[in-house]
Amino acid sequence: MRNLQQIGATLSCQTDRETIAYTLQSTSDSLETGLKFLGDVASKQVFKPWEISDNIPRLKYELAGLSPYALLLDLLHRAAYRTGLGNSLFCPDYLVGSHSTESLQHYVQSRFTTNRAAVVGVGVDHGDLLCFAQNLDLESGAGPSDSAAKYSGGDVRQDTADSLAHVAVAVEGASLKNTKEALAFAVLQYALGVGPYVKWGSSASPLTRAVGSAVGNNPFAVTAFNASYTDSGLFGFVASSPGNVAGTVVDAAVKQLRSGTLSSTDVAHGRAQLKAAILYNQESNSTLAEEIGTQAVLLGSVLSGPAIISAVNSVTDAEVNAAASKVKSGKLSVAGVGNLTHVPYSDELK
Amino acid sequence: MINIVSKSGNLAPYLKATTQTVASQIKQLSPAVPASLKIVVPPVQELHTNYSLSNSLPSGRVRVLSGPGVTTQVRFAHTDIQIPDFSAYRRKDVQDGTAVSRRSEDSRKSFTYLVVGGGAVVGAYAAKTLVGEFVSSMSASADVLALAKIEIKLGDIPEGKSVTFKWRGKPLFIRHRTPSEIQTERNVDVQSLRDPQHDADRVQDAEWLVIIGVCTHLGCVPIANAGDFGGYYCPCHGSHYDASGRIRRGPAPLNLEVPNYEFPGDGTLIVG
Repeated sequence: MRNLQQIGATLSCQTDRETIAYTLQSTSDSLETGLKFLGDVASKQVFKPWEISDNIPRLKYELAGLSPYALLLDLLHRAAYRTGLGNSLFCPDYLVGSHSTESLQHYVQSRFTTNRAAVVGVGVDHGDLLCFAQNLDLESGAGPSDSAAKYSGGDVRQDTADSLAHVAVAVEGASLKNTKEALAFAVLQYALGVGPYVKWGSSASPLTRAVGSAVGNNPFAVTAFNASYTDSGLFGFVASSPGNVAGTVVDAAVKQLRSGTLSSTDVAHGRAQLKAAILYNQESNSTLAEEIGTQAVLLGSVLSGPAIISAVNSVTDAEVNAAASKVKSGKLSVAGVGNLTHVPYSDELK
Repeated sequence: MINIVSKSGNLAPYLKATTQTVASQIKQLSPAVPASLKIVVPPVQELHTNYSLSNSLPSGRVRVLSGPGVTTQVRFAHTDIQIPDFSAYRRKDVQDGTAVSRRSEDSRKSFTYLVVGGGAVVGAYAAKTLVGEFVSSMSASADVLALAKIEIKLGDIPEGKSVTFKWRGKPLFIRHRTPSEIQTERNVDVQSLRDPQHDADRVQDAEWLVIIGVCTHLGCVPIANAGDFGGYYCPCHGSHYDASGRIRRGPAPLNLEVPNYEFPGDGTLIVG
């Protein structure tokens, strides 16, 4: 770590449900030194016992400081998938301290194989990158085959001492196998409304309007949620509000979610905002590298910015409405964190 | 009733919730719960408005980021993060986002260095002038400088006469010498003088003798046209000076001082 700081580089590891990414950010002069460390961290891991035990207090601290939204999404996936994709991203409390060198090394050696890996460089000469990739000491082969994700649906809740209620409701969405459907769901997400676009104002998206008219003066927030994984996906919404109006918020949002069709202006908004979000993501080198890496590892091929934009442009209203009707008929998964006394269960929601 | 409860067998203790505070021989006290270390985390920000609530909602895949020198973050793929537009600050060569900055690096750098270098030179000159003005304000003021020179109309002084002016606080003797006086002075043997100086070295124009009338002995003012040598005589201790202001007899060691003077040419004399 001191060597990295001396050359002014940052080394970080990003995990999501399907990928692990080791990222090195450095200046071009100190790239060679940094790549040495990156290679060691990504391929030649030795999980020394004192390294593991030194990190346990830090792990406990970070687990204690998790935001409710991280917990909420974990519970949503647990409700939807139970195992596989339903496993939490965070170490459960009862497993902290129980990892050993052998178990970690077995995991790394069986899963970090060349067929499942991608090496991405942004701002790096292609020849240097090839050289680095060829010298990486990864096992060759395909690695273990994983079972397909199975969507089940249900409720998982955690009551906490918060005045707010955070609720996530989802149905099965599009997987990455069918990229056209995945794009249609992404357009549907932005058409329903994602995040505020005007500072200090709420958006005029269908979801926000539907919930806003039902909730009156209380503060609330609702955004459409879309996650596509290799075998399956989730589509729904995430809502936050004070506990006493959480029931009305969830009811109104589910009604809008299950409405089945959207006007063509909303779909046009969705397309435009999705294109903007994709392009903003590609503006920063670090997010661009993550984007390329995820596409390479999960899809096997990488689409450039203009190619994705033309793909989004080719999504028709009919496809988006087909996605909306799939949402209308899907089985609900409901997850909640916070003050959940008024939040309905999945069988109470239509 | 009691039979039904006791027939639930092993489940009976779990169908009721009881606590035991005094141990008896039959039932053991449950072990005390060990006090766990409470982990102190920074307090969570309370969110009360639509906008702040909306900003924290996740909308897509979740990623967890951690690293040796990096604080752990949970990333929710927010869409409200905008990268600002820096085009107002960019130079023309790198206005285009895809331009290779190394190509225009030399021209941009040399322009900057040129401007800065030129500015530094101008700045140094300006600073020098400013400081010089302030420092020179401490030197003699104009009225003092004005008194430092004296301008004399030579036409008013007749031949043979010695006129006295006050100059810089000292008496200034201007003597319009006659040709015979000049001849006498020129013929004096320089080696025999106490302070050997030729007359030609003491005057610019032989007709006009300009000296300061302070006796070099102890500072009295000599009297003109007195003494044994046709020049000046100091009454204090009896020093005799000749018509060239040189000491001839008496206790004074040096000749009378000759100041800086010049003849600007229009019948005047400027001393000082």
